[in-house]
Amino acid sequence: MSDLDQVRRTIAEHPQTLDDGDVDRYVALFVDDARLTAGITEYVGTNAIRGFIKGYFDGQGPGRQTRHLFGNSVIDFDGQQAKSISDVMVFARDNDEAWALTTLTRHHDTLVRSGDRWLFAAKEIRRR
Amino acid sequence: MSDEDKIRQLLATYVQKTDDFDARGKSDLFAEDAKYYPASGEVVGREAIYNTVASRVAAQPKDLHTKHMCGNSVISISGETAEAATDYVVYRQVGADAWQIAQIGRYYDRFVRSGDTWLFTENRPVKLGP
Repeated sequence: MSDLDQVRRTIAEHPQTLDDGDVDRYVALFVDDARLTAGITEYVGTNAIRGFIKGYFDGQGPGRQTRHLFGNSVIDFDGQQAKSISDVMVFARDNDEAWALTTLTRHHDTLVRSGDRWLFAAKEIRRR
Repeated sequence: MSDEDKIRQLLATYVQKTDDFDARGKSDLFAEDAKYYPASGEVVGREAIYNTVASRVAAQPKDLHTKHMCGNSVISISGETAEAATDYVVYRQVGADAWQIAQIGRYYDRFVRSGDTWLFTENRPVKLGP
């Protein structure tokens, strides 16, 4: 698999782990000293990122369903790292209510090679 | 074009044929002995898939429009076969009514290499929620 396809795969796995509520698979997409910025808060290292995502999942009601659909990914390689900017549509509903488009965001990502994979070294989630 | 790109193109063609209500074009994307899992249950074989899709198209309102948008494809290739998990959102409009989100889910698909391209051997849409 090419480096570009590996990067695309990691970018695609991220929303699926998020929507599946899978803490371990979510954290495994980041290198140990990764930085995750959500709004004005920065989480440094996988322990902090684990706490962030666990809190996000714990804050959702039992009937909550979400779907983060990524698109428009612009991916550039810069030496040993890849930079990616992706637009995201977030859909959500409770139980069997009608689906609604709840949030539009843009993710600014930096990925680095880690073994045979590319993982997030930095992720910044911007609302827009 | 990489194998991953060919599979992404197959997935995009699949949803475009679906929204075009093109039963023949859609069924031609499946291998001869492929399995398809619509809400009504398992369908085996390209011709049976064609008949299932054509029957559904014939029964739907004439002024129905749909748009399937896909993303987040996680693709794994192993030699001559591959599998992918792909998220989808389906929008639906009847006549001049407002578009609505009809369904959200994930396709769990399997593929086989066929010459210079890839075909579905299994297509399983799983909708999210009740």
